[in-house]
Amino acid sequence: MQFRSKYLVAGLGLAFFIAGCERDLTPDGPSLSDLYGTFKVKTALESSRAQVDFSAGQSVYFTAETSIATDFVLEIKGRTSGAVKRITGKSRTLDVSNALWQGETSQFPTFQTEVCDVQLTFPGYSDTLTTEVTVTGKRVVEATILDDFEGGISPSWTKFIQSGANMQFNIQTAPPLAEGSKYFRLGGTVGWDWLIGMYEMPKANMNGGAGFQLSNDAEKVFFNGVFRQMAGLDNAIILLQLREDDNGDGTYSEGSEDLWAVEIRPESAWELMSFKYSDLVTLVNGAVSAAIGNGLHEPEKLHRLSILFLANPSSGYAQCDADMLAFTENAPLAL
Amino acid sequence: MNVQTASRNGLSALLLLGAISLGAQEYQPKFSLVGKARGVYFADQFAMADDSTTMPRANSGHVMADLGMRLVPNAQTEVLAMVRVRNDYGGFWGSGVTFDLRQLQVKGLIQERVRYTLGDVDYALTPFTFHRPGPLMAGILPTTMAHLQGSIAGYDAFTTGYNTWRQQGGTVEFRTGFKRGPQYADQSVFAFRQRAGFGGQATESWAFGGSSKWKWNNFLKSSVSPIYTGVNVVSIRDIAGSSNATDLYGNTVVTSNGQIPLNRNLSFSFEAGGSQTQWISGDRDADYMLHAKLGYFKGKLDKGISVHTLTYTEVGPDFYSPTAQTTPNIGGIAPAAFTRIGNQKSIRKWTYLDLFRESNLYRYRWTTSLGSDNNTYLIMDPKGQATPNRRTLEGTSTADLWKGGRLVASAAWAQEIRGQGTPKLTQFSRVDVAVHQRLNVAQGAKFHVRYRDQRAWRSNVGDDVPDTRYSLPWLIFGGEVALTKDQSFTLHAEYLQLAHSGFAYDIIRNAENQVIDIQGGNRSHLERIPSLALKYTASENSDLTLGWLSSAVKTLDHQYSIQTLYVLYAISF
Repeated sequence: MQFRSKYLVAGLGLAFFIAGCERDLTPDGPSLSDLYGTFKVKTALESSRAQVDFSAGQSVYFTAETSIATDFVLEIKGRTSGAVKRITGKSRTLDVSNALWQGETSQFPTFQTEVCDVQLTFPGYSDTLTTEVTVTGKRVVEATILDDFEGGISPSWTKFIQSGANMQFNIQTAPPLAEGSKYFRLGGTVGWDWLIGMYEMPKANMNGGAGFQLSNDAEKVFFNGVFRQMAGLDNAIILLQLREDDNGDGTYSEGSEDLWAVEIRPESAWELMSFKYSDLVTLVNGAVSAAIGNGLHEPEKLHRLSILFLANPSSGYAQCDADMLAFTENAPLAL
Repeated sequence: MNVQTASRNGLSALLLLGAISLGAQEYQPKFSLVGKARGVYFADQFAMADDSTTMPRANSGHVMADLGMRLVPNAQTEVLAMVRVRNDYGGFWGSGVTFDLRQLQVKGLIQERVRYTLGDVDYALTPFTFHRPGPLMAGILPTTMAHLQGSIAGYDAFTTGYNTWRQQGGTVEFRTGFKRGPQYADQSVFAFRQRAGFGGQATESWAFGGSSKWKWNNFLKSSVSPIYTGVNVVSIRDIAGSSNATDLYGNTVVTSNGQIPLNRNLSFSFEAGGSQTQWISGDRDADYMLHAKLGYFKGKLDKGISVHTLTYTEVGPDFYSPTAQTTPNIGGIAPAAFTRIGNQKSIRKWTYLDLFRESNLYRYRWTTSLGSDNNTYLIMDPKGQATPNRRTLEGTSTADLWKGGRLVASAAWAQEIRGQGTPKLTQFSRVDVAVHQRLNVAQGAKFHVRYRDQRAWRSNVGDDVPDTRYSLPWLIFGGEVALTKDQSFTLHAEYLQLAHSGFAYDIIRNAENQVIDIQGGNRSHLERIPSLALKYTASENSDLTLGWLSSAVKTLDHQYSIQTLYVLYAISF
């Protein structure tokens, strides 16, 4: 009997040992109270600082708390510029993880040094929370800027403009603005060719001849620009072309080295567009085709960047505006 | 393990292969034919109020033969190549004929001691490791419905009565004998492959593992049956470099199990173990399970029996095994018959009728995640016995209480271990009562009735959070009358009613089994399947059934019925 008891006790002991092991019993998934509970505002909207100097690397975040996790829209609007930053999400609390503002813009123009009204709304509920924050220093753009047009058009560009009608390749200051107080207009009518005008930035004109100095990882390099098209028109095409010096001989050889491209057809409102270098393709008459050179996306070998302004010759006047043309690394440009 | 190693360890072991070797000595024809054939025809009629677009009639049928050529080139080797030839009725001149390979297998003996199998293998370990959960309602379907499912969809989907899984790879089995201590140990190891595919998107995956089952003299009581103990291992591994994926999935389950007769009437069995999972994000999960069962048996099979069991099972919320993650049916797939119904042409969800006939609703490959729960038919253990996040207590009783009659009853209670969206735990219950009765009418008759009630509930979660109140009542009854003395002609009348209703929450998981959403809502589903069948049993292995069954379905969205007249001939050889 002792023999049996020994095994039974050992078995039970093992069972209790296993059953007594500690488990993580934090409930799985989203809280049911968040999904199905009653909505109430528990803590008012506040900003982490009353004044923020983005040029000094500062940022500001907003806090608020509701009784359940719900969709929220946090909108920051510049009183002078009219710039809008919109942050959306779904949460019970707003904090630094989901309501951080580093001076960037969702709806152009960019923010100036100004007082901003901040409004928090919850779709489906009538509650609106407000506060304000003052911008004392504008955001510093971290990018290789090709041109922001604030000092006129950069002399580094080489250009070719057709002798068409009503040609408009000039700096504009009329609102609505995008970044800063100036932008570049491309416009005109050319009845015999798709090409209206072209601006090129050769490697030799960048950084005192040192070139674009881009990373060799095409997954990390982005071309960015803010574009819009004249309201009521839809015929303008901006064709971005990037030519690579695959063999490193200091020149670009047509037909044997890579030419990456993307077609941009802007809408009538300013929009920041970013293109990952590795996503660029080879286009022949607008259609994707096989690479011309070694087929490798090699940003460090970029020899020349071209911006072609195109429109169907039978479509009449075409017009686009552009601002803040820049390369960024690791992430798209944030304005 | 080999003889020398075992001896050095003092086990005085020698390798035996009793049954296997004995089998090899018997006369084996050089060539023989094994397999199965069937002919089936369904005439369906669909009906739905106000539906003016769905074609109400759909007929289908085929004749099919699985021809297994068994070649025995020598006493140690057997090759089985089973070819499927199928001809859909109406497909004359070869247009409806398909050829397929059903099974290809090589078996052999190495020095009369070690058995190996290569190719298509049916394999199973325990319900918590590597085991194919049975089809929904396995074991409780009425006779002709079970026959329909087993002969058509279940057979095509490789389901067997032993919860085996059809896999491709190899197994090695051998027996180790001992002069003292255990009587012998049966060892089995396996390696199965799921190939990569989808242009490098799917990673090649392998399952490795095996079991070691030891038989001991009963040292607790020498006069009763021997003790069996075992260790079971299964490990699923993604193979690096076989796809674009850089992060790999891995899951290992190790359990030990045993069966210990305590005296002539009482026995204890158990399984306990743990699992470790490596997700492709790099996250890791580990948890344990425990299953203990006390069984009482009294009586003789020919004079009446009485069997009672009490079982406690605990499966941790992070215990993941291929068994639980590979439920038998695929919830999201649409049935082939009457796929779109109603004037809105909405996709019809499969019902139990479709499980009788369509093998594409069954799962073949192992999967690496639990998927979302489908509460249509199960809520307490939707992933089988190894359903994670459950502690369950269950009692069952089977007793021959009166002449020709048997009562089978069970009651189970279960609870979540970790709450889903709340610390409040959902409770579950299942009560099952069945009566089987033999009657001396005509040439003999049988009758059975079963009521199963499954429930889930949870309350007081918080303001405005609806309580879980969900029930799944099932009713099954049927009768069988023999029309001839030799029992070759039998008439069957059966009824199956499956329902669920109430408020329940569906758990939505991502590919790493994390709960990403919980969707609550009112559910309502009622499925009635009456059936009449005349069956001719020509021999133990062949029969012909002429039947009618109807599936009337009522959900929150639809109400329709499908009536089917069918002829089914099936033969195994």
